[in-house]
Amino acid sequence: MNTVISIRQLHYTYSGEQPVLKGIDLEVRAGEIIGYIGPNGAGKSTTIKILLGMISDFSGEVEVLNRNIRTDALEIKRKVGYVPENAALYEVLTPLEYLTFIGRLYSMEDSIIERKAEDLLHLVGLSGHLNQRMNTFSKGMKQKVLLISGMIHNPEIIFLDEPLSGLDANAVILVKEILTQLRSAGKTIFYSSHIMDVVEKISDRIVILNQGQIIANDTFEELKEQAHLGSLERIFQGLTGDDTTQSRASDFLQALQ
Amino acid sequence: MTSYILWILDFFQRFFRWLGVDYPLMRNIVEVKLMMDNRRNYATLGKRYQTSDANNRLLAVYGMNAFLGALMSVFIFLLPSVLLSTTILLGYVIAWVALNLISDYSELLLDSTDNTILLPRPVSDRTIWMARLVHLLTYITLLTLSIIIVPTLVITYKLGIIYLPVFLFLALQATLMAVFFTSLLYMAVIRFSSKERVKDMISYVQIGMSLFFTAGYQILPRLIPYDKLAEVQDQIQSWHFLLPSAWLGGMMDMLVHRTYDASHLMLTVLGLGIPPLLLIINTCYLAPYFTRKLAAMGSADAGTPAPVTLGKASGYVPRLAEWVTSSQTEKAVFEMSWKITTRDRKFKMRTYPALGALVPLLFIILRPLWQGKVSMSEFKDGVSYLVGIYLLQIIAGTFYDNTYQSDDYKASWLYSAVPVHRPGDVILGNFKAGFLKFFTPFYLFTSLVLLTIWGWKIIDDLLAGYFFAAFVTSSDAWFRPSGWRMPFSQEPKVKGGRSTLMVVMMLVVLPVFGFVHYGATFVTGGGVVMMLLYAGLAWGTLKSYRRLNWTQFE
Repeated sequence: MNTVISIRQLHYTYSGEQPVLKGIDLEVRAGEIIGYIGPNGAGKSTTIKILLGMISDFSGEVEVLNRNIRTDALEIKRKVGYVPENAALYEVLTPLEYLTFIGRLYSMEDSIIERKAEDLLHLVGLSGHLNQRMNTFSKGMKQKVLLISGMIHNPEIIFLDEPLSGLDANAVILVKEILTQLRSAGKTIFYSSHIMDVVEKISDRIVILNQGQIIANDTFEELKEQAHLGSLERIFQGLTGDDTTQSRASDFLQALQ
Repeated sequence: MTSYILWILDFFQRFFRWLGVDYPLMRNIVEVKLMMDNRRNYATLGKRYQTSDANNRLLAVYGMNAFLGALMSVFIFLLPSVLLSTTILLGYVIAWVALNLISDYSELLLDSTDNTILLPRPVSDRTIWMARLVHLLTYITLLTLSIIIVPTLVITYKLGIIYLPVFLFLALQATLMAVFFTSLLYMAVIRFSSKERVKDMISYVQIGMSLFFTAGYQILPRLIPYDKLAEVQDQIQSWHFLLPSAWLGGMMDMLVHRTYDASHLMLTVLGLGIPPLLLIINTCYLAPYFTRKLAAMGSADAGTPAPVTLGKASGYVPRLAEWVTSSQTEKAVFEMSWKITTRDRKFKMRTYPALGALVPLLFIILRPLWQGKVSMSEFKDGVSYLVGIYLLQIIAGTFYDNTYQSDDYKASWLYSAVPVHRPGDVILGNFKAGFLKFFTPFYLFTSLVLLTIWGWKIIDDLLAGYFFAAFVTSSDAWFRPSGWRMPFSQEPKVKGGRSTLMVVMMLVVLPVFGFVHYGATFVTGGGVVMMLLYAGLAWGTLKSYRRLNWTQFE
């Protein structure tokens, strides 16, 4: 399979702060679901922002869809989709107005945007709210609109940063199924999350980032074998060095007394 | 209105394309930004017009600006001096444009949502930058036009059509200065503090604007010494050289009176030269620095505000709580309410403008003295302080009312989850915090002013007024049509107001009690009797809180 994302020696430091990324090397092939996990502050969102061309003052080489992100960011952006961690929406707009706006930014025809937006909103259960301003929406409803806005242009690679945040159980099942079918259709999914069991179930490969460095990059089965541990949660704990959970939980109970 | 702006923009599409901008995308972004402008809340509009479904708020803002501009135009008619009237008018333009920019446009400027939405899309930086610039220029142009439209017509009518382009040009120069001063202010704040601090600063400007609306209208027209202003001659003073709007006024005066002396020429040179110079400084130095600083803050924040570390709760609040509350629940709610009202920016925004009511109130009481209609001894013999005491009651309820609203209203699930035996303790703790924190200092200040004039003889009346406020405010909750509710448990409704019964009370009950109190002043010890009566009523009402049970709550 073709390599669609190639990262070599990626370093990044926010001005005046400690380095966030300390030399990342990663290759992602077309049609893969990559589970990109790590503790808070590990550099997950920063990596995604660099891959999307939102941050440009990094050092190292980054190619997406065989194009250099520094020189061809615009071309790359046409073919990738992004669902950010925070529900960043123009909330005074209605879902239909917002999706029309986003669709136009991808130079889509209005009639196509309208058809797709209505269909997709209907499929996620928002057909009764098409013309309602989003500032009255629940977190889950906004998340659904956000998911659609990241995919409405049918991208080749989809970057998802905590996409299940606020969704109810049925919506979570639906999104997981959509991601599986997108993979079958040849789409690449770069999935960043803290919900380990979802990452474990849907990912073809799991990349664990800790303190700006990749400390594991394998299938779940291989990680399990290497670590001799049964779940991704335990593997993650072992690798990120946080194996004090049990004693901390006991201390917590003690403090409650 | 949006469609007209876009229609005008379409005429320049070749120009934009020539600049390397993707015009359809830029148009799309500008269209959405204008649409959102029409749905945002504006400090200028105050609370009344901010219904949730308004689609033309910007038009209402422009209408309000035009109305204010019309009021300012009075100067042009009243003042024979061209120099003075133009200086005042353009000074107003500078101040008003700057205030609007700080209070309303900065909300957009500091919103990082825009970057998260636009930057991952296939839109070039140049297109995004141009869309933002076009949006800003449209905003400033319409804002300025709305402010100057009436003054321009009045100037044209008074001085002749030839001065129409002159005044428009001067207004442009004034706007450039306003933009510069705004940037300078941003720079000063952002250089030393965080984005949150900038937001705080903006809140205070918004509160200031609301205060101006509450108090300014009633006071300013009365303060202006029209008779003296009418005598002012077009004579340039040294202070004119320090006042930016006077540079522009001097230029107008020179053209109207054809007085090309050194002073006029110097003001004209300043008026012509400084604004473009400020524009260059702004474009080359301030704006890029500001953008960089904001971008750095945006990255560092990563969507969450910078942590604010507080020391242990300041000493006097827990001590005060200990002193005024009688149960652990009451104490907990007292401290919680005190802290939330201190830290919640939106609460301050809703509440502090009410303080502005103090200014016209004092003005109403002191006006006869001010205007020299009565002597000090005659004034001291009167009882106009009672008017002040009773009018203050209207404000007392506003503070307390606001403690029932919060953007975090959903957090009130807590009250139904914890084993609070007497819900009245919660209400009482909140009442005491609101009353002591907001009304008490406010009442103390007014009392000090009144004591300075009338002396200690009115102390019983003042204490009676204080107890009356406690009685009125606490009894308000018994008559709420919406029933009893927990503190900070309601979604802020900008349009919401006091209960009808409360309004009736203000119109009927206040004058009745006031009149009884007035009668009591003719009887020796009448003030003390009123004080005891109100203290008893307040005690009774607060005591009644203890009898509340959960079935009475929503």
